[in-house]
Order: sequence, then C-alpha cells, then structure tokens
Amino acid sequence: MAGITLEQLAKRYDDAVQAVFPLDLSVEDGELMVLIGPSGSGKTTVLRMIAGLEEATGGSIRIGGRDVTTTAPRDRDIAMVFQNYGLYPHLKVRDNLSFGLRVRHVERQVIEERVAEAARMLGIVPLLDRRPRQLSGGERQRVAMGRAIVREPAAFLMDEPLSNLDAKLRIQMRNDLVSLQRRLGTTTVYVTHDQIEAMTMGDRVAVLDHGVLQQVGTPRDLYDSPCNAFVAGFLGYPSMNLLPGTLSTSSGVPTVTICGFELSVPMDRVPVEAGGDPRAVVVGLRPEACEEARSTRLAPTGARLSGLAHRVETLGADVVVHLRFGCTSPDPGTTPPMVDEVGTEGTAGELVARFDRRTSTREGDRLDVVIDTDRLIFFDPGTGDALR
Amino acid sequence: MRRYRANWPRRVVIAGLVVWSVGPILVALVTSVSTTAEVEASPPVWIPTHLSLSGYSALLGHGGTGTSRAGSEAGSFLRSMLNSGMVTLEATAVILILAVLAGYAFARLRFPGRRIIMALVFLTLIAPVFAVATPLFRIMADLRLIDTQLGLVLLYVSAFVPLAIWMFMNYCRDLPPEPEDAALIDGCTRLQALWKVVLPQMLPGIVALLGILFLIVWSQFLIPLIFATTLSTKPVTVLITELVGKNTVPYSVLDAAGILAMIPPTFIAVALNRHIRGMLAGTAG
Ligand SMILES: Nc1ncnc2c1ncn2[C@@H]1O[C@H](COP(=O)(O)OP(=O)(O)O)[C@@H](O)[C@H]1O
Ligand SMILES: [Mg+2]
Repeated sequence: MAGITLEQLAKRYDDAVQAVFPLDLSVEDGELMVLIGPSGSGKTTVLRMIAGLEEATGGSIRIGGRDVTTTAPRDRDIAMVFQNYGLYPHLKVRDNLSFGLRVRHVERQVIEERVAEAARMLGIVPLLDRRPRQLSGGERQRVAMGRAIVREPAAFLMDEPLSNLDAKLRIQMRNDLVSLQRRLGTTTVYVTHDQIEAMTMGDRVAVLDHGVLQQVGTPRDLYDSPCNAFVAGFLGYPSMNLLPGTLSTSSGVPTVTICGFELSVPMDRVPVEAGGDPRAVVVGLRPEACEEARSTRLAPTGARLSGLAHRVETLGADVVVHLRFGCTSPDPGTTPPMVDEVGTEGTAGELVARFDRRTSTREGDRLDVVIDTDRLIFFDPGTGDALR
Repeated sequence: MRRYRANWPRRVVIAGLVVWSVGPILVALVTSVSTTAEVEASPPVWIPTHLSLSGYSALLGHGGTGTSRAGSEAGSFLRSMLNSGMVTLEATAVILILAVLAGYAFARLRFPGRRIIMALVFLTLIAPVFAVATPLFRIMADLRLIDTQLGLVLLYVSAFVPLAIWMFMNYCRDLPPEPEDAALIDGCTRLQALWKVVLPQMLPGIVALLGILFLIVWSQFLIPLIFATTLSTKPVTVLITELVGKNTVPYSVLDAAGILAMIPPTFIAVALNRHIRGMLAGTAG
C-alpha cells in the first residue's frame, strides 16, 4: 500500500559533486529497508531526497504509488528521525510530539490520545513536561521516535538514529526499534554505516558505495553471495578475507592456489563465466569458514593452509586469529588494488580466521587451518565483481 | 592545601583586573557625590565627608545648589540622554532586523550570487569610520541629513550592519539545521517553519545581538561628534565632553553625567549577560 519506489534517482550538488548515481530501489509496504554504506557514500542524500528536503536532479520517487518527486516535504506523508534527533529545542516534549498534528489542525482530543499512546509505547510519559535539553541522548532518541509515530505516516525515514548513543543503549534501542516497526508495520528506510545494525535490523539491505547502489537483498543473501568484493568486505566482522589467487580447472580437479597453497575447489563453486585458465582471481573467504585443523569437523581434504598466528584477539564468544603465511603475494606487482580498497582486515599473505573460544592457539604458534571450500567465492581482480 | 596556595598568583591577577576595570568607575561614583571643595582639595579626600547630590541635581534640574550653571545643563543633559536612547533603539532595531534576515540567509540558503554579495558586505568591515567620514559628510549634507535622527540611524546602520550580519551568520551556522527540516516534514510551509521553529531557535542569539548592538551604538562618539552638531540630535557621549567649562572642570557634574550615562548600557549588559557572553564566545544557544 505505501511502498517506496525510486527510479533512476540521482543527485548532483551545485559544485558538481555527483553524490548519488541513478539508482533503482523498491521498498515494499511494511518493509524495513536498511541503506548502508561508508561515510560519504550518499545515504543521507538519498534519504533527504525521499523526504523532499533535497531536490532530486534525476529520476523519480513514488510513495504509496503516488509520484512525489516534486512534492513539498509536508505533503509526502513521511516522518523522519535524525541522527542528532532534531527536536524543537524551545518546546516541551509533549509539544514536540504534538507539533506535527497541531500544524495540521488535527482535533485536540485526537492529538492528546495519540501523544499519550506514543509516550506510553516509548516509556517517555514522565518526560512529557521536560525540554529537550533536559533529556539524555537515549531519551531524546525516544522522543524523536515518538514525534514520528504520532503522525501515523506512510513511511519512516531514519538517518543513523542510534549512532550518537553508547554501545549498550544502541543495542537495546535497536531491538526496541525493530519490535516497534514490526508492531506498527510502517514502511521504513533506515540509514546506517554500522553493518551489525544492517544485518540485525533489515528485512532487506541496500549497499551503497560512492553514490552507486551495489546490491540489494536480505542480510543472508548479501552475506553469503555478495555481488562484489566491496559488499563482501563491508558486511561481516571480522571482514571477509580477500586473497589474490590463481584458479585452475584444466587438470581434472579444479584448484585454487593461494600463496603457494593449493586448495581443491568443489565443482559447484567454480565460476561458469568465461575466463582464462589458469586465471587470476581474488579469493573470498569468511573468517568463520577457516577452522583449526586439530579440531575441525570438516573433512581434512586438500584444503589446508598453514601459517604463523601473529595476533590472537579474544572477542569473548570467539577468538580471531591473524595468520601469516610464510610468503608475500605470489606476484606483488599484480596484486589488485581493490583488495586494499575494501578495507579488509588481512593483507596479501595474511588470513583472518575465527575460532571457537576453546582454541588453545597462542600468538607465535604455527598452525594448520582447514578451509570450508563450499564457502569459497571468487572475484574478478580487475572489476571486483563476483564470478558466478 | 597546596592547591589553595597555587591559586594565589591567579587571585592577584584577577584582583588586578578588577581594580583596573572597576576602579575608575568607583572613583567616578565617589566623585559624583562629593562637594567641589573636597574633590579639589589637596591632598585629595578619597572618602567624602559630606554627601552631595549637587552634581546630579545640576544635571537632572532639581534647582541645583552648588553650581551656577545648573539651569542650562539640566535641560541639555536630559535631552542628550533622550537623543542617545532614541537613536540607539532605532538603529539597534533596524540593524537587528537586517542582520537576522541576512545572517540566516547567508548561513542557510543557497542562492545565486551568494558568495559575491557576502564578499562585498564583509569587505566593508575593513574600512574604518574615519576614512569615510569626509566623503560621507558631503553626501549627508547634500541630502540634508546632518544633525537629524534619520541621518544618524542611517550612519549607524551602514557602519554596523556588516559586523552584525557576520556575527549572526556565524551564530546560525552553529545552530543545528535539523529542527527546521523536521518542521518542514511535520507539516510546515517554509514561512511557518521559520516562524514557529527557526525564530524561537534563534531567540537567544537575537537577544544577544540586540544587547551587543545596544552597547556599541550607545557608546558611539566619533560619528555623532561629526554628524550630530546641535542638541536636537547630540547624544550624551558627546555632550559630556562639553560640560568641561573654559576655566573650571566641574568634576562632580562630569562624573555624575558619566554615571547616569552608564545606567542604560549597564542595565542591558546585566540583563543580557548570559546571552551576550554566549554569542561573543561563539557558542550557539
Ligand atoms: N549540501 C551539500 N552540498 C554539496 N555536497 C554535498 C552536500 N551534502 C553532501 N554532499 C556530498 O555528497 C556526498 C554524499 O554525502 P552524504 O549523502 O551525506 O553521505 P553519507 O550520508 O553516506 O555519509 C559526499 O561526498 C558529500 O560531501
Ligand atoms: Mg549521512
């Protein structure tokens, strides 16, 4: 009913900054769509265009089937929550909540009911007579949410609403926000740069980089089948390992060679796309797909790497081990630049693995790692695109 | 104990500053209630033995006893205070309105020619008053604006609007833009958002700027010295200098005038102290 559809939506700022390249995105009615990307990737710009605070320089926006591309913000039937809350500093919480309804001349009794209901839902009843400056960050965030709720809009737009809160509160608010959104069933576009928020909150996630939409899908889709090395490296912590390698299929059993280690590759993992043979690839490997050889339940096939644990970090539930192979990249001159660009934890010749907390690995140990080759992904070293 | 002692140099400096700034005012206050004989006594009498309000009554016209010039001075002093007050209020109001509108526009709106207009406005900050006084005098004379309230207000407006715009622009830049955005989404038109949200949000800054402008304009001396030639516009700052007679210096009258002239700006400074400090320190809100 009130889905949001962006078609070829683009934004170029006056000073010739192309902040958003034409993008298509469709948010279903009632869906929580997370828009994620690094800082400066154009997330806020997209959201502000949907809100009407920024004029689109190309494409169209439809909300609930209605073309609102040139409609004033007040007529788009949306509500927005800002990173720094954007409360009206001169108004009490009560009046912050009711402001939008009063401007629209809603009946007083309806206003009172809705404000009371929202305040109760968000647990801010005792704060109603305070002013914004007398509230903590978390309380302000709740008031900002309340202000959005009372309007009963067709969609919520949220721009990094939790990033000013401390870690603990952020997790709590994250959960509160998701259950609230589920209960209200209001279509929501949620902007964040935090991949954990994206993975945990989004029905679907859209990844943006340098103003270009990279991929849209469920958190699981993006995690398991990223469309390129950027998405692969951006989602998940620790980041996916992206190692330069050579894929060879000519000699019967397909193999990939990483830093001199030869791993056999299951047939269904071998890209069908045409390419040379052997061909240079970037091998994507999730840290949790690397297991300790001495405790693995994986078949100890020919998928084994060995190296030196030069750093061991305890995360609590698991242990992150940085493994160094005794080599640099096979041919440093051809190391694709994009491997560094995506900001992965490891570098060529280094593998990040995530072990169970019971591991006895210590810094300085030499150890063998078995790779779950069913989870290998290959990327084109030139374009960074996933090879399928 | 150690912290206590470490504070001593600081205390001495603060005490020095207080004496430096408050001392002259105290002397003026004491002198203004002393008799002429005691003021001129040698060695000086610091604490007057007789309280005498003759200085004040000479200025305020309650049939002064001590000074022979009482009659003429009473009328002119009150007139000059009135002149000061009127011109200061008018100029402050005009400058304030222009500065708030332009400062907000420069800070928030993107419009063609914005940078050039800004550059032109702020370029005038460089030109000192005395450099333009002579050409201005001729223009003002041609327009018959010498010795008129309108002329003075125009001069003050042109002299202080750029500074005021600059201050208010910086203030607006520090204000978060989100409340205005929120208002637009919540259902306001641009004008409604300005009126219902932005203006209240800017209120502390407006009050501060009002105070600062009042203090600046009230204490103007050079401009009125040139352009306010008669008592019909002459402000108290200029009049005080004329209280000095050819042969005598009536200290008590002079200092009483100074004290009285300080009352309005003191009142403003005390009342708006918190806001003014905020603005001069460059912190919004
Ligand atoms: N008002 C503006 N004028 C010019 N450039 C802008 C403006 N707002 C954002 N940009 C630029 O557009 C790009 C995307 O910005 P933004 O949408 O804020 O990214 P994000 O929210 O993902 O951090 C950045 O390069 C930024 O510098
Ligand atoms: Mg942003």
